[in-house]
Amino acid sequence: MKNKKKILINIIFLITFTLFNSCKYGSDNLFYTGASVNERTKDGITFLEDNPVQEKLKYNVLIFSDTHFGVKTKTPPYQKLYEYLDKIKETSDYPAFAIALGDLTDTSSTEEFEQYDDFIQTLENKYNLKTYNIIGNHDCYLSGWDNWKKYCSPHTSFYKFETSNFSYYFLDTGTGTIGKNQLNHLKKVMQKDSKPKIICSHYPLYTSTLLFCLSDTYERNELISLFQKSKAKIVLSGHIHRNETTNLGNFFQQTITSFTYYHEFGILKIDEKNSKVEFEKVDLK
Amino acid sequence: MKKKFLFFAFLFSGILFASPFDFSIKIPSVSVRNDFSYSIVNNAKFSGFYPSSRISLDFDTLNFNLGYQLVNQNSDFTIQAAYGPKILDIMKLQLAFTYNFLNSLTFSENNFVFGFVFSVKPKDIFKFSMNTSFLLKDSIIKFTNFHIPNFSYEFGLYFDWALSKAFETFFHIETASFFNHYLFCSLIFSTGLKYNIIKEFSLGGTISATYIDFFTVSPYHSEVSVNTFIQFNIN
Repeated sequence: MKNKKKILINIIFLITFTLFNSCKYGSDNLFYTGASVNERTKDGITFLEDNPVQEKLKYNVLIFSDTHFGVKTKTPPYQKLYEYLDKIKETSDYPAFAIALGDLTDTSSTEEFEQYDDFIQTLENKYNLKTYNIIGNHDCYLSGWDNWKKYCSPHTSFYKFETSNFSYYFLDTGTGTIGKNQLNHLKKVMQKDSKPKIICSHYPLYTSTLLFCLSDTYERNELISLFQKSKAKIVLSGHIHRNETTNLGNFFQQTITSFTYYHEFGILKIDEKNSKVEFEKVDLK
Repeated sequence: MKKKFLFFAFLFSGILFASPFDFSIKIPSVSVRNDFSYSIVNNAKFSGFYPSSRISLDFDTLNFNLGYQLVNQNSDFTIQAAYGPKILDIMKLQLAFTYNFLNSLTFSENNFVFGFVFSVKPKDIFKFSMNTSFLLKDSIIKFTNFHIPNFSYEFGLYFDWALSKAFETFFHIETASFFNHYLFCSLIFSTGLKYNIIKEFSLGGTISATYIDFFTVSPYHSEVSVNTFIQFNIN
């Protein structure tokens, strides 16, 4: 009888440990509902008044992803990035603004968000690069959402802004799904927006491997259909820590290598006049 | 330790020296089940009330399931077949194939699932089953007729108990259900109760919760539903 009890306790422990322990953040995440995607996006999309490129029709955008500030085994190569920016400062290649594709911190602690904020403040104040952030899974563990709202501009996870000819959309896929609220809001807004679109999401719509994309293919297919109808040019994603270009019908998906793990980032070359978008990888190693 | 050794020795000696494999097909028992479900926490596919029906034919070593589900403007059709021997009268190892077709307004999906189902029923009161399968998914976006292929993996653990002649209960953990085939690794937890009013007629209820991406994120519950069902059995 005692043995049976022991076995039962071991089995329960094993199931709890293996099923609910993801990315070393423990089973308590299972019961934490404060950061549900439906809750985060309940007010719909935020329209930003920003136009970071003003009247420019040809410009570059700095894209980086998965900075994982706070990860113990790696250091983000921000010094190398600053050197790169110093080098191109006086040229036409200098980016007009920056986009961070999520997983900005490793465990979403306040300390890690403060480190990330220092980096972003340097980009903004010293290099005149405003950064538009999207939320990743590592940013919304437990109370991460509160920290994200506090430290990451524009302090909302579902938003858009427009330039002269393009629209930029920033989606919240931080918990592995877009959620019903966000999908419905997005459908309404995109159907009224005739401009070509650049869409950013932490989770990719598709990967060539077994894991790491949106696993609910119902919402994934709804999104691809919506993007195909809405003149999407490119979907930019992180999460998988490597570059992968995928044709999704009449638009492309580009995933970006992790900035901290592989010392790479990307430059998006935009030609709004000719409605062209090109991606170029930059290796800092 | 000695008991464990004897148990495994008994199992393997059975396989090696007896004739433990029974491939015979028996007169089928047929059941028809109608479910009426309500989604409490909604995801992109599920909201509100939705019905589904399922016919099962059980030839002991050969099983067929055929089902249909209507959710808002989406319809799911699934056919499933499994065949394999009974081993030592308490175990079954079957090769299984499932085809699911999902049709929505904007896309359709063909899901082909190939795998194995293992079940053991040491006593009439308890049954444990597990399946492990490969999923080939072909999604077709209707606007451009664009095909998206996916290769994935499915597994399930099923614990079923007969509490008495009248009451049965279960607890299931699976990455895909009969009608819904997510990419690895979202998990569906379900539990419920079945009341056999008479041999030919049962009533029951289920609660199930779908958690998105157990592999990399803090698990997020994307859908929770409750359902009631009626089942007719013809033996």
